[in-house]
Amino acid sequence: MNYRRWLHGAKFWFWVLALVAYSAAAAGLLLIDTAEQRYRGLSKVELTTTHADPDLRRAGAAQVAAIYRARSGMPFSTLSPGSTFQIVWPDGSTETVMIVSPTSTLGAEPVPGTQQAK
Amino acid sequence: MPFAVSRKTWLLLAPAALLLGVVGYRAVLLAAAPALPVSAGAAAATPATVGVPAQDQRRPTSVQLLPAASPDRRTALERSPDLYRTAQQLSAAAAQGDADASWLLSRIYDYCAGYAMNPAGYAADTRAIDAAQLPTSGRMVDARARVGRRCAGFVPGDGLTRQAIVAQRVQAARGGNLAAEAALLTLGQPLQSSAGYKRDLVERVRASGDPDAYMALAPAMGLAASGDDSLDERIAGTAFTELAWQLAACRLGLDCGPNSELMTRYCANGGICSQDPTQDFSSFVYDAAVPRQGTDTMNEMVNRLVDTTARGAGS
Repeated sequence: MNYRRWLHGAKFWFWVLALVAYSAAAAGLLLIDTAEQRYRGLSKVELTTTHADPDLRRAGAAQVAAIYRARSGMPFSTLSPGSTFQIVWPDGSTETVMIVSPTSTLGAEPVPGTQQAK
Repeated sequence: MPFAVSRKTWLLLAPAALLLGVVGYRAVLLAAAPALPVSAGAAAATPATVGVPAQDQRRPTSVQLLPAASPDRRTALERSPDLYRTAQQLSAAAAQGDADASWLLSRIYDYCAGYAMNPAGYAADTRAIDAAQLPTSGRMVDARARVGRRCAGFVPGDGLTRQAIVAQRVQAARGGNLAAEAALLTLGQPLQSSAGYKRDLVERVRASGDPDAYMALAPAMGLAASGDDSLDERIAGTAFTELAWQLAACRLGLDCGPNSELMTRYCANGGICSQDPTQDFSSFVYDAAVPRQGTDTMNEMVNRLVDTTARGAGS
């Protein structure tokens, strides 16, 4: 009886999680984790946290966005100005950044109030 | 049984509520993102960064003012192999209140900021991008090497920060440089925050025919302008409108060749590189960004932007 109740609950939460993930994807949330191999060795990323100098965070986020675009099949329409993404710095802290200009080294602006320590 | 109904209801309502929450949260973030208009003291807040004092001792050079005509200066800047020296020349003029020099200096700061922040790290990152074997790694490496060569001489102590860039642009905009004014809007720090000012600025840029101003305004006319009623019917609000403004800038005389500053910046800083090294910006955009069926629409937008310039922006 307990097993059946547990199974029922597990099914329920599975579908809730599936719908949450679907909703988040539909809303266009993009999360980039700098722990990935292709980002973590970059000089403007490896020691950066949400407490770092704003210019270093701008440059690091812009560089991460550049590599993300370079991997996409449609670089012009990927992370274009005005779009946002959430970045996870190597220490686990996160913040949302907005693309201001893909042609600028400092072209990604951290959004105030979105910083979260690990 | 009522419990079962309740669960189904939850399953329907939970994602809808979550979606609403996410959309609302993002709307709040987007509303909070643009910074406040630049205060009167902003330009004066960074006097140490307006010139390039630290570098004078490293590489002494006779500082001469560049010619006064803007197109010549712009061309000289775009072709300069040594932006460090060009910055020295321009900073002398900017210190004397030359608005165009301040604007061009801000462009050098923006171009070289990534390099100046950490020259050794910049080179290491270039090697890392090469090793990452991205589809356009080779092109990115070339573009970054070009930036590295042109910006050689700058060091972190030169203070090529966003604050310095904004300070130069505020000085240039207050001195009457339209491109700097447009760039401040793009940075979310317009000289004035009213919708009327924004509309007026767009019209002034269109009337000017200044390719620099078109290019500086372009990012503000793309997705960043989506939902902005003040820019209604002004070719704004999508990724394609941003490109239309940039293509119009090329049509108006901006250097958009294969190795131009524009192509270099897109590739080195944005990871947006043409696979074909002979392609100019216009060809690249039509090749990689505009679907074939959208070509006519894009042409029409560019023509409208350029035609408005020829006729004045009143229409």
